[in-house]
Amino acid sequence: MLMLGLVAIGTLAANGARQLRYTAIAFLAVALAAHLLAGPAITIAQISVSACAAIVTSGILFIAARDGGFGEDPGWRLWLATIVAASATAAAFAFLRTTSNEDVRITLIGEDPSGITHEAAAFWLLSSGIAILLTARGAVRGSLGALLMLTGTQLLVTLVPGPQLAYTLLLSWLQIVVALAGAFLIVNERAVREL
Amino acid sequence: MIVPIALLGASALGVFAFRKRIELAGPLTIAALAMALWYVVSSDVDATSEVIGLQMRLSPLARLAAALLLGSLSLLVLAVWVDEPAYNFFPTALASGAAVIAVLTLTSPIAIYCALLLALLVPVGSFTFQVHRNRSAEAAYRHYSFVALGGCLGLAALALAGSLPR
Repeated sequence: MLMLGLVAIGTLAANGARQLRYTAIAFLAVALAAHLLAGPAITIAQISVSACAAIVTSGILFIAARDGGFGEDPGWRLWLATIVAASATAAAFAFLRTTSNEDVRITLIGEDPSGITHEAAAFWLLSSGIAILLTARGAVRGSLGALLMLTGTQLLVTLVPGPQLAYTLLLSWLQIVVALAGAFLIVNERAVREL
Repeated sequence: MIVPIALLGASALGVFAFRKRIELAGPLTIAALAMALWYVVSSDVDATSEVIGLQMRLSPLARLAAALLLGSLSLLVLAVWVDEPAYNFFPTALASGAAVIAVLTLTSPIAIYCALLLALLVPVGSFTFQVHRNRSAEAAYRHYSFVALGGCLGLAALALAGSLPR
């Protein structure tokens, strides 16, 4: 439950940040909290790969900013994105939750065998990502939206039976490519703007 | 089947390093694509392999499709090299070629979807050209947003479907 709170606060911080460097740091916090939230369901190897990918991704965004002042002011988009994300999370959780009919015991710190916090975090990240991506004006917030959506997707994929390490590796590479493409677009957009 | 994917992926990284030297990047890209094509065509039909738990299988249709797609990519590379030397195109073509073979040979739906998303995202690097004169950066951003949005939703739907009790 604590990690779910950290994911939510980190997402709001990343969404509200005016500087890309703060966005990158907030995204790192979100990604690490989301992977720790998966807890004992995933192996140490998976956590290591995901954490490495999160650090590299944040590093790419941090470097793409070039200076501390560069970023995109969310303005009213912050509130719209938050309201849409909160409503969509509740709706998605009510309709799409895959495990039900069991006793639910949620603790502040510790395991969550029912998977409620896991799926709630995944739906929150997906909804936030969609809302940020749809209200973004440029590549700065667009990249953040795409990365948050991908982090939510990673959480859902950990629930699928199959070769989990391979899935983690593929999704981590995908995350890095999303960050690289986003950084490339940020640099190009800035070149156009500064002409 | 991992050999042609690794060959094209490694070549993409190598060619990226000297992509602005088109007289080198062009021929090396075509050579890497030709080697991958030869490897795929000469492989046994229904050859299977496994990489960290992911099964790969080369069906007759996958072999035909791979040959056609790698051949088309080679022709495009040749056209770009000779006619419109856009240097970002060469590593992009190699990375897309690797992703194409992965999509055709992987058997797990989630892994196929991940490879497909990679193949759709990598070309963002070759979309932008003369950003001061046209709106190619804007077009590339739109492509990126649509791929990220559709791709993540599709992947999440697959994951949700996969985690349902049978």
